[in-house]
Amino acid sequence: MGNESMRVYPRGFIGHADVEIGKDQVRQSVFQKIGEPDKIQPKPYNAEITDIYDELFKVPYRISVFDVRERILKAGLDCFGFKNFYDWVLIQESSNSVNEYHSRFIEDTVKFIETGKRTLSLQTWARLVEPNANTGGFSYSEDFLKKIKKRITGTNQYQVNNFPIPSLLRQWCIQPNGIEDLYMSMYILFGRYNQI
Amino acid sequence: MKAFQYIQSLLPSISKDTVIEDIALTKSILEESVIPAYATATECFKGWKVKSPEVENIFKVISRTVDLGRGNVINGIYDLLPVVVENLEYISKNAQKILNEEVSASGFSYKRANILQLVEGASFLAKYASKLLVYVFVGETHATGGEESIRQTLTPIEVAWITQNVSYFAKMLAILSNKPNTVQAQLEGIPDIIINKDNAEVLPSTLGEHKVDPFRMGFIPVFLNPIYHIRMSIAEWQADRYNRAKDELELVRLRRVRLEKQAQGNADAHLQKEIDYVERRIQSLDAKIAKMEKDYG
Repeated sequence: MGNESMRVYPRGFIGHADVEIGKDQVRQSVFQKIGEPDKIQPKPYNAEITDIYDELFKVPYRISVFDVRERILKAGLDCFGFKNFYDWVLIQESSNSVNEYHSRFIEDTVKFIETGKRTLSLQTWARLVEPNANTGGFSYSEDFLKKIKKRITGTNQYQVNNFPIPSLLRQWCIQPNGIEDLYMSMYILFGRYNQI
Repeated sequence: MKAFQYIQSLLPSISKDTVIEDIALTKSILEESVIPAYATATECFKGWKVKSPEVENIFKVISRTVDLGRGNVINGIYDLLPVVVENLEYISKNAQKILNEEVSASGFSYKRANILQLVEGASFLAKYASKLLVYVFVGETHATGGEESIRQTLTPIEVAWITQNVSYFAKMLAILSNKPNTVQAQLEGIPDIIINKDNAEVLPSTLGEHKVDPFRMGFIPVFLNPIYHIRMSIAEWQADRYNRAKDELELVRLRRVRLEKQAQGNADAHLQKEIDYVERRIQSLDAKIAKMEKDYG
């Protein structure tokens, strides 16, 4: 998979375009249509991830059902659009709709995958990660970048480390409440978000 | 401990399950919210020189009462909290052993009364430790150039509660962070004699105050945990207490980000909006808990 089949999702993250896409109908008043129509345009989202989230929001205990877990993992395999997770991490900078909290959220998610702990809860991230927030620019920390790419000896070039998506999902799910973190994170990354 | 006065303030009967569940809840709040919040703060305040005079005053009172080692006060408290948890485990085992299924206030011995006061003190300690961190972050952010001071951010009730109860917190921390074998020895040495009006005056002078009140809790106010003193919906009150602790952990983490950004000279209205949201949630839980305590009391 390359970046030719990528799209920008509602919160600004880039992800795989070749998945089932959902789009809500938004009722607009005449004034909204005349005024700032761009602001209220519904953004296409990953339909499967949004369905899973909606279902588990209504009936949280279904997370223990095998079919639901299988759907989460399949959605996880499809949604990034890269074989190497770190390639996906690095491509985010090219989105026009990302800011400081997008990069912080990605770093925190990698921290969770490695340690099972987050700096802020996913509920807080869901409110902080906003495409049009007036805040700092998208930027990964030096320590984080060192984890992702390394200099090729004797050259000025960098090589991106390999973290295949299946290994990523395995590592994510072995953390305490890992599968819950996975589907909620995917929802923040690629799910429905209509900002008014 | 003013033993007779204390048992007079208790409900006519207290179930053992209530005490054991209360200890378990305090332990979870400490382990899942308070200790992680102090871990966050310890990372942030490594090598930090306190700038806020209000925070400095609070820290002075704590340092005077508790041996916090060489680090700063936050670091010192962080090191002691796991000892509090360890002591709570022992207190829980002891409560299991010596409390009957239903304990009537008139059947309270010195040992039982001491255990119950330690349990009450521990729940107060967990609540205070959590609120203290928020106070410290707000004070230090303001002292680093943030616009809003402690008095502009926290309600007058919250500020008064923090400043007026600091010595009780320091005393409870000193008691509950003693070495577990010291706490065990002190508890074991307390006589299992039923408290009544007559012996409450005589026993401390004949056996010695150190025997009947080895933790010197006499000056601590009786009313630290309402569930033992007023009839109320315990389950709802405990659920709200747990949720508040979770929100306070999130607030501390957000305030840490805010302080770090402030120290770099970057104010962030978007982050402030989220902090305000979490603060409003905590204040509404505080108000709900206070109303429950008032309605049933």
